[in-house]
Amino acid sequence: MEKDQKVRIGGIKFSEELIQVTVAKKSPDDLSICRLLHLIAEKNINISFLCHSVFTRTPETIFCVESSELDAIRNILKAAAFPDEHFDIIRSVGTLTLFPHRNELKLLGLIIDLFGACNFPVYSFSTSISAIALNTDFLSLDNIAKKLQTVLLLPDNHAPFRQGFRVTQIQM
Amino acid sequence: METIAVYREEQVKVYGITEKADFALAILHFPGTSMALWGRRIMSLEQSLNRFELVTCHTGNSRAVELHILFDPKYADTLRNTVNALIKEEKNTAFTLKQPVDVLFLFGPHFQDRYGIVDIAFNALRKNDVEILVSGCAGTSMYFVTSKNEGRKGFHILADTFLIPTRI
Repeated sequence: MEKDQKVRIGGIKFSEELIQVTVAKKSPDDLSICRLLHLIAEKNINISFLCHSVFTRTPETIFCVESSELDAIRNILKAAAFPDEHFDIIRSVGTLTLFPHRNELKLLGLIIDLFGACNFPVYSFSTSISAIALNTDFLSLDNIAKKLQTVLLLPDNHAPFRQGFRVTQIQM
Repeated sequence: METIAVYREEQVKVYGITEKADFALAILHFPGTSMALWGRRIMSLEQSLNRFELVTCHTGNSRAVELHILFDPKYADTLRNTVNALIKEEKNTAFTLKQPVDVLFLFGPHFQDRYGIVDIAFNALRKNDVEILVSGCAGTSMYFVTSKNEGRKGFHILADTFLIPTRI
């Protein structure tokens, strides 16, 4: 694609390596997801992404935490009495953040089209006030960014995709 | 190099909470194999939908995709007609429109890096019987889509739960 045909965006950012957890409610008025979120908070585990819907066959909540928390999450799911068939964990997930979306479907459609055409997995995504946060295969992030730059134009002085620092909350 | 900053807040501070009423929520189910096709369709929907308020999406175990678009209801008829015409003969594809719905939006400092924020919001709404139909929490933003008339109640609950320097 010619430079002047590309969609101009402000930037792309990669997350650390994450896991994505999908939990399904056992029944529509079941409180297990609220309990689960509470147990995760009690263990000081940060949820960097979450989406939730009651329009699936059983209401589902999808969230991402750092990959180092895998064992802790398994223990919490056990403590919250989630049977195996009510949750699913995807390992090695990366959040790709693109901004700004300007509340326009064009950028979103372009990204979904590219992911579909290149067979990059889309595990989940959500828009925020200005960005699109999309969860995909962590190991493919560099390759995805390269492909995205065939249709998107980044500023010349773009910062590295990976953050050079991390913010961690130690105590509430 | 590690920098430690100490900051204590008795009540989680947010930059703002907004309640917006009367939105339309499009719920689309399609097979994961149609991802590229739907990408192109979504681009073309821009003309009939104008701007979105929120979009969330997830892929289930069977590679079925569920996509939600929250938008201005004045474009609902156009969107319904356009999408229904597109999916007329497609298998494993469904389109539902729910309206009117309300949306609560809040954003705060470093929400994506702090634990317990989503727990506080979810549990406050759940305890007061506000059902969250769809939620999208990413970056510093949290969106909660509720049924019509639940938004006002949800707003008051969140406003009591979080500390807002200025109410919007």
